[in-house]
Amino acid sequence: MLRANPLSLFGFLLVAFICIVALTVAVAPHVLVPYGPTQETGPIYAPPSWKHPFGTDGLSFDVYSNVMLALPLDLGLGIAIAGASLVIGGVLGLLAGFYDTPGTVAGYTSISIMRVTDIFLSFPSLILALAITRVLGISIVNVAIAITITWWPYYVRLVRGEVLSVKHLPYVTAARAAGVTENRILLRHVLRNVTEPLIVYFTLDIGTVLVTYSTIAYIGVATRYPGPTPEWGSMLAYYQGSAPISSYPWLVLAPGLAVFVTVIAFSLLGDGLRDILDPRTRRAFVRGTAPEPPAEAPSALPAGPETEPESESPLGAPDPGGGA
Amino acid sequence: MTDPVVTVDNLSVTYTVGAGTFFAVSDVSLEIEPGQVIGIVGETGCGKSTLAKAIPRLLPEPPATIGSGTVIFRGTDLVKVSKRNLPMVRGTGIGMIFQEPLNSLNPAFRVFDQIAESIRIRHYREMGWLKSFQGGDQPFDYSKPQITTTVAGSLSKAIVPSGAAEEAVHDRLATRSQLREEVLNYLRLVRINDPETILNLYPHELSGGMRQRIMIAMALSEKPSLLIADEPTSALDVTIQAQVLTLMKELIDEVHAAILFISHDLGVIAETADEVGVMYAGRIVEYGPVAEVFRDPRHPYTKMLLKAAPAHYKGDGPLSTIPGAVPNLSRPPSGCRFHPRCSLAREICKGETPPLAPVDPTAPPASRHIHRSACYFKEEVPNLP
Repeated sequence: MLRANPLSLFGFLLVAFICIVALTVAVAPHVLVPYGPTQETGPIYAPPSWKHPFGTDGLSFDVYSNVMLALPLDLGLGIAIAGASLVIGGVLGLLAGFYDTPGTVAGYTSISIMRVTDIFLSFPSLILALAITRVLGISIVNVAIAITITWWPYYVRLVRGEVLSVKHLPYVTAARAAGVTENRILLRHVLRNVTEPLIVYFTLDIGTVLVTYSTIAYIGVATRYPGPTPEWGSMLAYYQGSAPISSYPWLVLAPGLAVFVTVIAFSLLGDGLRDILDPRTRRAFVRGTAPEPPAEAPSALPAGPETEPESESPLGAPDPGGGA
Repeated sequence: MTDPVVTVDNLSVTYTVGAGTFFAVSDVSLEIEPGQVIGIVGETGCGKSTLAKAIPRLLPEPPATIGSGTVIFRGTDLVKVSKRNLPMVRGTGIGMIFQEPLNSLNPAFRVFDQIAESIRIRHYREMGWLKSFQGGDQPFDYSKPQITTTVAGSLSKAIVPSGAAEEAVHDRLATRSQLREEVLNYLRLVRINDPETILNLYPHELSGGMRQRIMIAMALSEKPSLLIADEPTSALDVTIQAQVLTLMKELIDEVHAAILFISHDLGVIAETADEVGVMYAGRIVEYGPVAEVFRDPRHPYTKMLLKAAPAHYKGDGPLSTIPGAVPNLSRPPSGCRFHPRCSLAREICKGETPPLAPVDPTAPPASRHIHRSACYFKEEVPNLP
């Protein structure tokens, strides 16, 4: 169903591929990872070869094995931190946006949530995360907690803004007029129309979180490299200082490329999801299942490019509207 | 005389926007009996829609405030009902059709889900799974088939195809296919061709007229005892307009519902309503049986409004207009709010608000259903050009 947009399809396949690889590495590392993280392989600074796809470093560790071993950790952290922020920020944003009648308990709660959010947003999140990590003590879990603490306010802002724009739309009033209760309006009518930008943002955000985590690791406030749990950021930091980049570029290129590919994959997927989740553009992507247009179709369907894909997509032609 | 479905007494609604207060609806009184269609007509900004939304308490409060008055719906003052309990009144008690067909359907749901939600709400209330009330402190007992057994005529056949109405009430929604069948029946009811296809479409795939009919189907499917229609036909072309009006009239015969019909279209009101209230600047300035009010208007505003209607244009010279503009409702004119635009205005009109009094001086002043006008010089109105 993503076929209409080649880039989104590419992103989707790439994310699927990355996730499968990450799962494989996590469950059965020996399938894809020939060496251990701190296993000496013999040659030092060996250039990329079939035996060592990303070469070896000054301690003769296999760079490819370390990059692969870091994948489940980095990906898992990205999804976990963004996911925790999504849940915390999403719930607070829904409450703050929907129950905001001034002068009531709910109204004051809403105001409190927003002021706390503002306070968190007034700090640069990276610096704040660094400080929190320092206080909590350096460990992977603590870094994840620190980033989550600085990360959820963005979701509150996003969700609250969406809720505010949706809750005054006529269809919410119409649902209210039909006798739907407030809680059900929030959970069924409002949430459903907020989900789409939220999921898109979440998908894009996984990459951002990954970069942030790598940055913290790069600065050195996370796991040590070389060590039992390799991580792309700390790998970059270590290889940048251990040997001249110009002589052994594969050392920094390998973890750098890993970050780049993962982030780009989620960005492309996010763009594709935007098109799929929006009912107004979704029809263009769903092939075969779309019912025939009604008899009065010419007047019933809005004019413009949206009407075209229904008839065009079965032929495999690219979507004229969604490609941009 | 049957008990009125809803009695509105001296209802005033204000909007507080920034430092200003807008007197959107002032001292409006209405009484709607079962089976009646009451039309409200007036210019844009005269408070029609505010009145329509104030009755089921659908106005966002704040900025809107119901300053004074009562809305008695089946013995309960809706102004005093807590926000928690309001949903129980809406839908099956007071249904509503809105004027924005573009945005009044949730873009994320297919037509089926939109209508099914309404049917489910009614069904759950009928079964007693959801709380509901039709007035008083007593929860309304939907299990007594107040509506379904009394039905006769085309509409009931459309809704309950088996004809076994009473049994159907309890079994109708047992399965999804039965729910689907009921949704289809409501789609057929609003004259939608090929309902099986439409069922699976999203609102953006439908034309404005179709969306409007879906919305009407949603409102009808809850079988409300009062249906408030806020310009339900303004987005439709004339042929569909007529169908929709017929449809709504059938509903009245069918479930003995009352309808409050809001429109700026005098023709639609003349065709649909039994009684009409003419609103100007938040007040009802003239009220009475449609034929009487339109044939013999007794308020200068009604007279001028009728003259300005294109239907009255005889092809001689420019179409007549009402000089001036609708007053700013944050600072309404003193006394009679129409006096700045009125050719009959005298000193008293500036100082005191004329009461809505019977046109016929011998009529009992208490009756709400006779021709009344809020003008001090109502006898002189027929002499106006």
